[in-house]
Order: sequence, then C-alpha cells, then structure tokens
Amino acid sequence: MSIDVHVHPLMVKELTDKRPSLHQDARELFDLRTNPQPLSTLLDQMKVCRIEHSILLPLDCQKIHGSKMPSNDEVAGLVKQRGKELIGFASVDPDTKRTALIEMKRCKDQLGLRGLKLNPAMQGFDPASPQAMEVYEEAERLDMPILIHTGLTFSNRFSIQHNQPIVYDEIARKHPKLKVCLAHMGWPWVWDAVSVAIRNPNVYLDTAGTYVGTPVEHLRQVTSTLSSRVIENVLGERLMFGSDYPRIEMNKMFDAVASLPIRSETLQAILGENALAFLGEQ
Amino acid sequence: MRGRGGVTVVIERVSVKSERATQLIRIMEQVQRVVEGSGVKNGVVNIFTLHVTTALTINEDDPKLEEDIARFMVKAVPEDDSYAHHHFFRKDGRMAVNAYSHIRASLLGPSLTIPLQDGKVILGSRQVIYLVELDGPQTRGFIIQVMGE
Repeated sequence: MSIDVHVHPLMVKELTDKRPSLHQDARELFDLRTNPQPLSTLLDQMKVCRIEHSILLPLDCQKIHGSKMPSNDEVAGLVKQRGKELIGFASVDPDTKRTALIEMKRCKDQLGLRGLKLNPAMQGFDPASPQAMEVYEEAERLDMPILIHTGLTFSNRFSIQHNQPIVYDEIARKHPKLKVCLAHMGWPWVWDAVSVAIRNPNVYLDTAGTYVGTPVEHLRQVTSTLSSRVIENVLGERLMFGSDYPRIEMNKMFDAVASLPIRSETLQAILGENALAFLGEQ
Repeated sequence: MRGRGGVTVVIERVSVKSERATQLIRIMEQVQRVVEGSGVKNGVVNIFTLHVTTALTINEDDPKLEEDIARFMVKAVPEDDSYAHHHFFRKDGRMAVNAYSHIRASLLGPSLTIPLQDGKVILGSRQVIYLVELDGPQTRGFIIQVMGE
C-alpha cells in the first residue's frame, strides 16, 4: 500500500475547463505558472511510481482571494469520478466560525471527504485563534485528520508568521485524538516540527515539497540535518510520503524518498503504512 | 489557407500523452493524418514541439532502440549533478528541478522538417518520427504545419 498524502488538484484540466477562473486564481495566489493537465497525468505519475492512492487537498481562500482552490464539491467530484485511487480532504476558513463547522460536517457526512486541509498563511487566519481551536475540536469530534501547511511559503505576499510548526504542540496536546500532519516537515523549522512530533503521538509530518533544489537535493539537506537515524528511530512511524504535486512531479519526489539511506521497513512505513494510521485505518 | 502562388499552409496543434519520465512516442499517424487532411501533395511538413522538455527526432522503428535512446539520454545528462537552474523559479511559481530534462531536449532539438511527395511524407523505410518525452508523464502538445501545393 502506498499513498501520496499531499496532492493539490489545482491545475486539473477537468476542473479548469468547467471553471476557467480556477486557472487564473492558481496563477495569482499560488504563483503557479504551469499549464493545466488532465487528471490522467496525475494518475500516470501515480502509476509510474506505484502510488495507489493520492490525497487531494483543496484550499478555501475565499476570504483572501475570493476563491476556493478548488472547492470541496469539486474535490468530491474528482474522487467520485476515480473511486478508490483518490481520497478527498476538505478545507474551511476557521474565521467563518459556525459556517466552517457546518461545512466540515457536510463534507464528512455528505461528500465523503476524510480530512481537512488548512494553510494559515494563505488563508489568512491565526492557527492559535479561538475560532481555529473550534475547528480542531470539531475535527477531533468528526474524526477528520488535519493536514496543515507549515514552514516556508514562497510567495512573499503572505506572512509566514503563522506557519511555524511549534504552535501545534499545544493543539496536539489539547486534542490527543486529533491527528495533525505538519506538512513539509515545517521546513526550514524542521527540528521544531520534529520536536512537536516526538512529544505528541498524534502528530505526523510529510515529505512534500522541495526548497533547496531537486527532491534528492532537498531531502539530502533535510537528512543531513536530522540524520537517517532520527528518521529511522524517531520518525519511522510518523513521516509520510507527500509530493506537493503539481509543484513537484510525484515520480521525482518518490525517487528521492526511495533513495533515502533507510531500512526497507521504514521506507514502506513512510510510503503507506503511516498514512493509513493518519487516516485512521490502522 | 491558400497563399499567393497557390501555396497552401495548414497548421494543427496535436496532443499526446506520455506514460513515463523519458519516452519515445511515435507520432507518424498524427503527422500523416494532418498531411492527408491538408490536401497538399507536394511540399514540406514542419513539426515543432511546444515544450522545452520534449524534443523531436527520427530514428529506426524498433521498441528496443526506443528504450536505448531513452536510457542513453538519462545516462548522458545525469540527474544528480549541480545545476544552476535548480532554484526557486518565480516564473513557474515552483522550484526548478529539471535542468537535465532541458539539456536533453536541447541535444535533440525542437523541430523537424520532412519533405512531402504525392501527399505522403518522404521517409526511409526504417525511419519513424518520434516526440521524445524528457520530463513525463504529461500531456504534451506539438504543431504540425503542412506547406505546399
């Protein structure tokens, strides 16, 4: 079983054909200049690296940009179209308060979306605000794991003040049944993210994204900081494979993760078993 | 489009889907279809890729050779090298991580020109036209332009 926990269905042609503004929004907000590709490109990349499932992550940027990228319903539509290969998450804006909580329940119960994606910088909310706390509480109650952006955001239009991983220590401690993934290992605050994961068994990290070169170069930098020993012994049960597609091709990130100097059992855990635990299937 | 002196120019954008990171994709059928549809009997067909990490080439019709060429390109321009291109590329809004794909594409080139006679492309008995995917899998586009009379 292998799972990519970090896929953005941003430049999916089936969606941009129906809603052309999504293409423009992705250009403006994500600075993404690549052209839309059909969903089959994602599926082909999955096939090349034998990834069986991908988690699709929308982002509710209605407040900041007047757009949902894509919307929860659009993600649910893609999942319905492909069946088991795709797993959908939802996204809400905590600052919409009660509306966010209602939407979470609708997404879980009616759309079959399994978790929640948040990005404090790009959505413009404080992850320690009372309204964000209500979202964490509801996610715990609904058994919806949260994958949250931590670390660098390339665009300097957003403050990265709220992307620091350390804030999730308090949240993970308050909500021990809530599973939280600190995406991108919090890069460059990798040790902060690792510290939160070490202390809290409900905190996961993902490998998504590359900030200092190719995926191989990026992971080499991360592992030279952490050492393979930390990955083996400390993060073996908590690190998950994520690509950040389409910011990085899934097969390139897969090759980089597969080349890490770690035991094959640890690699298997990173590629799938830990994601199953994150999703509550183990 | 018929120009002065009875020259016809037909241009069509065609898409193909690659399934591997590096792959030779036969595009003979697409080229012949556009040539036949153009009504041009004698002239040339220009084929031009719209991407900087694909190329066009002509070689022998042999799947094993396709594998060899793909493998050679990977070996000739290694992925694990220090490339200046691998930085945050504002134009794309993402890290540039594929200098080797660009270099491989430059080695092969972005276009082909093939003569036409009696409404058919003139190729040697062993020649096949390929689009070379160097950063797949993706959906790729290329231009087929037929000129002649």
